[in-house]
Amino acid sequence: MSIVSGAQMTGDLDVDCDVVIVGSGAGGAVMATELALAGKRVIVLEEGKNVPAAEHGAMRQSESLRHVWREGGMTTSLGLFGAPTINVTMGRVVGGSSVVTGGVCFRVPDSILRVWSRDMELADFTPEALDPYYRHVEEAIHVEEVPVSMRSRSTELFAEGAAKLGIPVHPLRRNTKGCNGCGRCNFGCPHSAKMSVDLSYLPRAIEAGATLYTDCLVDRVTMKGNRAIGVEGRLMTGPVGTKKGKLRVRAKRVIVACGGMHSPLLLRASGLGHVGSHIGRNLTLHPGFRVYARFDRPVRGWQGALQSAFVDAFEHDGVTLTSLFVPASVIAATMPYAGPKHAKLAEQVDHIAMFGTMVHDDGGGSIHKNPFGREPISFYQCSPEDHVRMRFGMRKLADCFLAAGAKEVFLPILGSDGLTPDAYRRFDLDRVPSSRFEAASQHPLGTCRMSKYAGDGVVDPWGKVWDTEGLYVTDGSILPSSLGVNPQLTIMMAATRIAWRMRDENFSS
Amino acid sequence: MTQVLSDSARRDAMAFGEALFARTLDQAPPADRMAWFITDLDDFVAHLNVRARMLFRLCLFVVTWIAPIVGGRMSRLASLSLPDRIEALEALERTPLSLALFGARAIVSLVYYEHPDAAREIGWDRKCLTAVRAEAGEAREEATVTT
Repeated sequence: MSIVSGAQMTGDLDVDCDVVIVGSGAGGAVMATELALAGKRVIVLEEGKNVPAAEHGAMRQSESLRHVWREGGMTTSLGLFGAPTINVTMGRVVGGSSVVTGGVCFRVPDSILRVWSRDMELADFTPEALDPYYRHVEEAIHVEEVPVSMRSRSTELFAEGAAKLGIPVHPLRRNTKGCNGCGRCNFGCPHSAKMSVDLSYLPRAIEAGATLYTDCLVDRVTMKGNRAIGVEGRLMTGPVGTKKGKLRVRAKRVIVACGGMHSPLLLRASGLGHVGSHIGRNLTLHPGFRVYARFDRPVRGWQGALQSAFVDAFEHDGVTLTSLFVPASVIAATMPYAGPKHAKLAEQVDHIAMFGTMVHDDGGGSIHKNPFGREPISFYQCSPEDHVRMRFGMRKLADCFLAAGAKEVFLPILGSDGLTPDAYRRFDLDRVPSSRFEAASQHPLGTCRMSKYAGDGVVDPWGKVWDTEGLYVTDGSILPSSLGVNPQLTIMMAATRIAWRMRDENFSS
Repeated sequence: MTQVLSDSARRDAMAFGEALFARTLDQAPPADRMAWFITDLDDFVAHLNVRARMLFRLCLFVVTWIAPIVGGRMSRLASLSLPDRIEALEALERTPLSLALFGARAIVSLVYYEHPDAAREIGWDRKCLTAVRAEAGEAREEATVTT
């Protein structure tokens, strides 16, 4: 068994198996591995291609966007009623978005688990009950603390400012082994040092007998009554996924793991999602905002771990601060003006430090079928508290950088220039509409959320779609609410929990 | 890879890029660099699906046609002088349509600043931490030997 390129197959793909998994990202890869190791006949269908580490290393960042990211990184969730329009980035490659994350690993904060277990009555979701699954995943993907010596100068400057303000900065944990701090995590690790699931899980699944087909677009789950019996779709070829042969897989269990934006679409295309259904609703994004700061001396923030430190002191205010860095070309792109004035600002990218804030949002977005194409249309709304959290996080970032001696801070406002310390103190951020904020997200969650009762969600606490048989969802879409922290580890934990229960089931029915 | 941007779209992108990246008011970036930029931008767009291509074309349309109007001129951006193009883009940035300018600028900047000369001009050495430390280590060793 192996990885088979659907683009290079001739004719149709027509196969049987025990379990078919749609999507090879964090959720799908864990399911595939655990079930293959348990002796099940597993087939994984991935829309993207297989990109080995050497190819990642050979690509410029914009080439990575072309070949590895979905829609060239241009997917957006349209902000409604004053919410910002948010750029949502996702991987479209074997390994899914785990290939393009910074590798940050958090367990769900206890405060969130308390809400899940008490308010949402998901009784098994306590730190103690989830610990074995978390530990299993953390070992598999080699979660380790980022040493202080790996921090970029950008992160060091932020930490210096935070220390002056009495704000503790902690080292992040990431799934890495032998990272050398080249700062390219978001564009596929060229050194095989980030233990994304294409390296940490899928090879074991394949070794245990699973088959992974790339370049496969699944159009619908095949249903017989309320039972899922397989999937149908198309093989694809070419740079934009031109359809060619037909794809039909018959299976005893169907696992949907396409991510928070696409799993609800697949369920709806399969005849599920009646009026009033939660499928595609309750979208949360963890909207993220960066603040740049210009220093007198060179910073060269791209030298060092892309993400290495975080602040959780404001967890109860609904924000987490995390280190990050984007390519210098992206920094230059967000500088205002045009011509010589723009060039002058762009020339300062090596003097720029940055840090990010991520909002634990409770606003509700939604996912809809796109009548003109296969990528979904999504809308995003904020709660009044979310608007407050965004500004709170930005202010904390700016305060830390100014305390560290920054000469200017650049807030994430479309077309805005840098603010000197005096100008920043006079600046009224509350008067800027949120719709003018530059926002990004890597965490679409909640669109097939789990619930204790059928009327409150899409899947039960074990990932099975309510009122169906044999159909499961195991990706970020099943998380009952936003987490306030990066969800990769939690998605893998949830998939492990579902897989361990499923591996003991009798698949004859 | 076949050309996917029409000749007119390439002209519009070129006019936009020249204005955005000009380092002086009277001179656009070098022609060979801009030619590389347009070729690579075309390849970028060729790998986008229909929706993302339409989104880029929409942003480029706003930059091409609306920016001059906002800047007080009834003309296509490519028909304006370099200083007038720059003025038009800065005028657009002050309007609610700045999101379209941001979208177009993000894509063209990603491509343009990957040209080695453009990267050098903004001080982007693209070195990783290990390489810098290795160089620093070598420098220290050389200094020790010299001493």
